[in-house]
Amino acid sequence: MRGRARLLAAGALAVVVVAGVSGCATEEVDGEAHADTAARQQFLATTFEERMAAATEQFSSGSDLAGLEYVSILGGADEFDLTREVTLVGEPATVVVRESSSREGDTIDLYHEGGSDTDFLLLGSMFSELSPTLWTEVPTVIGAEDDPCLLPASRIFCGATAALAAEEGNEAPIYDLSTDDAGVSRISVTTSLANLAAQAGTLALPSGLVDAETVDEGSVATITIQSDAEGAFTALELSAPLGGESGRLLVGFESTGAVDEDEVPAAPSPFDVTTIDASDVDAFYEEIQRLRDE
Amino acid sequence: MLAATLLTAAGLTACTVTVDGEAVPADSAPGINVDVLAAGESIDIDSDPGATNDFWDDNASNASAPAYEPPPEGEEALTDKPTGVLVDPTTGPVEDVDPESLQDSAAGNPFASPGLSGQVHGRLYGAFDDQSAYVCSATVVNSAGKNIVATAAHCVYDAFSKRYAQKLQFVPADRNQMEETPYGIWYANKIFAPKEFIEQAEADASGRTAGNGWYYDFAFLTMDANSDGQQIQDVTGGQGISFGGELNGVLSIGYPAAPPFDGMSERYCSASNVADRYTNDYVLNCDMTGGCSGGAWLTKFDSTTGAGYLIGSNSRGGGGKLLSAALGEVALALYNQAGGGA
Repeated sequence: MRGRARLLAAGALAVVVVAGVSGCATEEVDGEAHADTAARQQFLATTFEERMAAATEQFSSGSDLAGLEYVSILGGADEFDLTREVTLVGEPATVVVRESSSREGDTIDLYHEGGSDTDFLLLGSMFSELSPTLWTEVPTVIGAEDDPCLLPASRIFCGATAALAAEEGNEAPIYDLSTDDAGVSRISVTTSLANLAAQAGTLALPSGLVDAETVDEGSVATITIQSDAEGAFTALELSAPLGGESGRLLVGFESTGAVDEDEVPAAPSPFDVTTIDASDVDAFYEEIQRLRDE
Repeated sequence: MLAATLLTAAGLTACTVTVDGEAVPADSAPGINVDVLAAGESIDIDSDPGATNDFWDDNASNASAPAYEPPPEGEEALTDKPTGVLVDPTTGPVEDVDPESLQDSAAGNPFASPGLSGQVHGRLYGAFDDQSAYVCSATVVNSAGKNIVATAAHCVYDAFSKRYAQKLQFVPADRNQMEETPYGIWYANKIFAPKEFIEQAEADASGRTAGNGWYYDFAFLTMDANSDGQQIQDVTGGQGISFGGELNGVLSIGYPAAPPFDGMSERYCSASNVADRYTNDYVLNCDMTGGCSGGAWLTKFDSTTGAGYLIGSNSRGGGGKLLSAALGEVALALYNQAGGGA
């Protein structure tokens, strides 16, 4: 969480630095310096689209990846933090997700073997009453359809892209670019919190965290792509103030580098697995939500 | 006084455990002949379900762990000789074994209990007298009489005090110490224990074991029909048995009750194979504790149907190891004596 707060703060500082050094000249000229805002916005829009396309391609081409998905509310009366360590290997992807939140015992690990029609869940202590064994097998969600937007990491890109696409007809987006001393650059674009909230399902936001029906229509959200000094993608973040005392919503994915295949576990022993039939799976997930709401 | 009683009882057997709670006499005189019969003979139990059930209502709770002394190494092999005889499970021959089920697992995780295994394995409650209740594990095995339950000999015969158990009741698929009894409670009417165990298995008050009899630590029980006249196998089905044959993966199941476990649920250990026999025992890396005694050792276990072949039962353990005597020709003779192959 602290790292994410730093990411935003560093971005803001870098904007100031860039603003301070932009327009520097090698010789003095007469008259006032006017930034060509329209041209800069056009340039940044193109840059943003290129970086988004490159990152989306990277995460939808079946390449292995490891990273951290997160959903947080910072600075509000009720802070919340959910992180998912994500590993995808192979094509179709074998997926390992280790999800934990700021609520004690609220952990769910997921193992999906590429091409399988089931997912294995390792439930934390909050949910221990739901399964007598270590693992619980359920019909797959992330592998149910040949849809990359169901995969961890990819779903963040899908949600961001859809939120931006919904901006058409609304206020013009504002782009910005900053680069810090280490060469890490962040390019961002504005959209609305409503557009972001409308993608709650795609972004796999916890139920009830953001209600698309009640968010302030005027609230501005920001989508930021972070790249390293070589221009390679390192993070994507969607953020927005929720208004009042509710704090700021952060949703994102950070790449953590190359995949260590030794870290990918084997499928659980069948002796460790309780199977939830398709006819019971809705009730199973409702019970998970009930326990989270208690 | 009670603590002392329980401590003594804990020392009586190798891997059984005593249960906490006030040990009280049954409502009526124990319905069991406690005379030690000739080795290899059976012992009749005038089963008294009402009294047995009442006794366990008063005595079933948690358990404590017995001490364990591994058997000496380097002894001459005295194994129960393999016969190659195979009795299929009631669900039919097991054809395939899921390779993923052949993983090594030693932690004693909760067992998923698929298919048949969710019906035939359970908890055995017994007492060697009115002051020393204990719990073990046991398995319904396929038999002609449809009424045979397999367990460890030390679960039915006290090698320290040389006496048979009383008030034996078996609860298939027991959960939370008889809070859930989905296949009923069944009462033993006869014990079949090998003479090798009766004559040569020794234990001291601290629970240390000695003697070659421990290499024959298996026994069979025949059970009363239920009030509807059904035999236990008609209700639960039965696992297969291998009286000495090839192994294809090993699965140990039981209800460990000594810490860190609580006896409330069925747990397991598994391996792709067992190590070479430790003198005469199979040995498996496993952290299960007292209370798992008598629980099934299965091979060629189908993780989908839950069917497999019994090769032994939890006998002794400690230090991360669990041992089982191997079923062979003595076990086969005993099984036939119990009406298994009649």
